[in-house]
Amino acid sequence: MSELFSCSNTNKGVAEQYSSFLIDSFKKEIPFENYSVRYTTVFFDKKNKTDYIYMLNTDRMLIHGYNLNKQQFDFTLNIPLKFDEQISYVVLDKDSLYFISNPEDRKICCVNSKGEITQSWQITDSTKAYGKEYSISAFYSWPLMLDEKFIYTSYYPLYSLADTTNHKKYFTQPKIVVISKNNGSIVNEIIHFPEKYIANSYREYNLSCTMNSNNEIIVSFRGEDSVLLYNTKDKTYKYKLMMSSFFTMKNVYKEDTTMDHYASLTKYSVENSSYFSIQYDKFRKKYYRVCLHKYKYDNDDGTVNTSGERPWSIVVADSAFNIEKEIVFPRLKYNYGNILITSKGVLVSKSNAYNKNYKQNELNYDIFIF
Amino acid sequence: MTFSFSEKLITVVLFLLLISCNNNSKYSKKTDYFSNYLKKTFDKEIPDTKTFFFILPNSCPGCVKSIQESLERFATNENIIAITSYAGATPKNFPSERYWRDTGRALDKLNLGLGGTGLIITEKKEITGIIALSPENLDSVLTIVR
Repeated sequence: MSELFSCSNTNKGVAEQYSSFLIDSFKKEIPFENYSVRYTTVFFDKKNKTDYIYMLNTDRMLIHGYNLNKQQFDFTLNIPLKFDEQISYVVLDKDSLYFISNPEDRKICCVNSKGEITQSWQITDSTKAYGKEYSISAFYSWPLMLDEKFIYTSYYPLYSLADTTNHKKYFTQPKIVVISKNNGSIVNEIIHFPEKYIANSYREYNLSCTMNSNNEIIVSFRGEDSVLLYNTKDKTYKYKLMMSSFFTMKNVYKEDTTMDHYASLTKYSVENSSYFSIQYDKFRKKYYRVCLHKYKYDNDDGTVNTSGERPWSIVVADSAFNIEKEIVFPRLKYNYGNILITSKGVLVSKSNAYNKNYKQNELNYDIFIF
Repeated sequence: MTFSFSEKLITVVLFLLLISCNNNSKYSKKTDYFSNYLKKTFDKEIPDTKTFFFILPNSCPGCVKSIQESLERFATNENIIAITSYAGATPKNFPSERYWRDTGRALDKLNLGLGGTGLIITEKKEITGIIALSPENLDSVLTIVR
């Protein structure tokens, strides 16, 4: 697919400081007991021109709705689903919250504003590996995506990726499934990892994706300067360059046998740069791609640096993927895994658990216009 | 070539000393890190008696949950302590005085060579074993905990 690469937009610009784009901030104590924010998303109510932050308390399976205009918590919903390993949801409107609650259930549910399940899809595909080797999942950086007829979500392997003999199978399998809203059947499988992931071990199993206003899916691989556009109407692919000045090609992974396998993976991850997420801003028609910069893993004092402590930046591109700027954020001040697109601007969470001033029971965001 | 009894004895003693030194050096740095961590975070020390510390960092909620469920089996074992930086709920049937919460998440930064959930075994104020825990090996590892 190399002929599809566009080389017109290289990021030659000087990285800019985040503070120039800051327009506002807010901080609010979360008044709920034993609250653990794990999954946060946003919804813009067009009728009332109001942004809501939805926060899921997985301990109690409650959603708390925070009204950004009034700066107050407006409602709480009981979610009639069980939290297992991971959960993902997207809010289309107040009466359409789509959930994947547990990969093994193989089910997508739609919940209304009363907390009732109004529709559910048992995902079926008897002819392929689905159900035997794969289930479905979604998460913050690879969310559920929907258009009028279909639901797009990621395959979730039911086998261990720690076993390297499974890598070829994983990296050759399509990554996103297209599910019919009509009957829950899998109607297509799209998006493959680039071939080099099959041949070499970069230990990047996840991709990030977003859907723009034209129902195109944009996929960001963690080790690729280009992003992949999939047109859901004519089913075509093309690449667009959206690179960070801070990304350097990763070294092939070598297990560090002095430590546990997962510690070795973390060390490799921290010591190499990677693209973490991509989001589409429908209000300003821009794309934001988060790049995590490489950083040292071992410290001299018996501590290590985690992924959440790395410096990072956002590459900003217009709707045609022309790179406008790259904005560098300081270590520890923000949480790159909690960026919300609202009509007011881009909310970047200041809840970084490694910051000394971090408080668990607090909504704390800076608002930017990039 | 033949060896006298005293030569054989010296060889055995030297061999045992070598093993002992190797074992100490294997965990001596990590013992220091863990001791400092317990002191700074909880104002505690590594106990003299054999103790099993379950390490539940703020990663992989599924792994943490399966260990939390297993912990309930050991509710009455005084030598079992769980240390967690995970923000979720406390296991229902495990005593809270042996479920230590690290809200500052220093646990996640501690260099024990673990990338996720684990078991630290200590005795006589030293670490004697570090085992990475996963849902796959949990049951077999738990057979050594008593």
